[in-house]
Amino acid sequence: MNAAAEGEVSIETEGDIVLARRAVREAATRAGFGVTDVTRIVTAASELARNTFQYAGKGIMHWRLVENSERHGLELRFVDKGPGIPDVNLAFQQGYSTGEGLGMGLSGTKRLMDEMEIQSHPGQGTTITVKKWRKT
Amino acid sequence: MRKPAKGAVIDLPASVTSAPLGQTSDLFQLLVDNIRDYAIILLDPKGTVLTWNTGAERLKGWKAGEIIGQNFSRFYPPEDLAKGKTEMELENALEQGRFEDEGWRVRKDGSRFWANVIITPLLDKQGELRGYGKVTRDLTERRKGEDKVRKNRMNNSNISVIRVRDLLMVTMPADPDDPTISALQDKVLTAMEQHEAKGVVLDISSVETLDSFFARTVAETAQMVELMGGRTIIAGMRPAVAVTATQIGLTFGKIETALNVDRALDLVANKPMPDQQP
Repeated sequence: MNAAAEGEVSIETEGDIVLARRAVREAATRAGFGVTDVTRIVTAASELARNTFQYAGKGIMHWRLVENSERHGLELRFVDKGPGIPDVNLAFQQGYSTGEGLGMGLSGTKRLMDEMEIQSHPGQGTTITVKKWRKT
Repeated sequence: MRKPAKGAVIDLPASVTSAPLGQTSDLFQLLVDNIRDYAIILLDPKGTVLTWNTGAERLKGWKAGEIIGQNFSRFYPPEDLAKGKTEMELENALEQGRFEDEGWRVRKDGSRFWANVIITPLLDKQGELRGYGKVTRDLTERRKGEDKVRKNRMNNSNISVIRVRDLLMVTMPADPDDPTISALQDKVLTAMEQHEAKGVVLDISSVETLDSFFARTVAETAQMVELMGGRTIIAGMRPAVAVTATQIGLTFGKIETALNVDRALDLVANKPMPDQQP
């Protein structure tokens, strides 16, 4: 059987954060990332999944293997229809927190991944996309 | 197929074993017809439903007239059909002499139940395949129970707190969920008080992911332990976890760290716990 190249985990309970981590760990390992990068990606997924659960109540994490002309990588996309992030730039600053984290959530996640993009519309929801490329 | 009156009671005569063949096979038919907890059906070699009993109707929702003559693939969810599961089951049964499976099956109304299925090929004296016997049980309730047990196991039961002399050895599971992490503080502080412990060695050598929530809980727990006059040593952080924690900007403040539990105990031996210092 061919291994899946994409998948999704719905995030509706605290237990789903664990399921999201497991799915990402499996995908990242299969994509050929080394143990440190796998840990980085899973940690980023954990921060973002909890972010979704805490601020939006529920949402979905999509993962998929990606490639460009030079490299292979893994993309994670967290989609929710929650309240949105009022000031995306502010949210990236270290120490910024409206919830119960250390205020490391988004800024820390950005340092763990190679690319990060946030689309947020107050009242409509947030989509956060992160990518990690395999070192060749 | 004969449909006996609902709730028919089968009185097995004492002489059943010596009864003429016709009589026992009639009785046997009655038995199969009336069993409520098992769907017992006959399929032809291609999987067409030939017979239907009370249990099948109860389990799957179709009445005999609605399903006899149709292929047994009606009982399977689309994702299984896409994989050719029904053909595979019959082939396996024929090759192995028996096929057993547990999985989701579909009722007439489209709802699903967790089924245990046993398919047995029926060969005549010449070894010719005449059809298949199929016995199905509904294990949905049992599965729900197992899910619950699995969920519980995934949760709190995984933090272990053991007292060694005046120390608490606290071991975290590999991938704790948030409620488990939240319970850490309570467990440690309760045990500190109960055992009048002087310190805590927190073994995180199994931990694969240390995110900001986990780190914050550990830091806060250590602070509380300090307020209670104790000392916390984090032992066994994996290299990949340490790299990630540093990169994300997590710090553990004044908490001591050790390569492993042995080194943590050395630390304690070389530097007495706070209230033993002069």
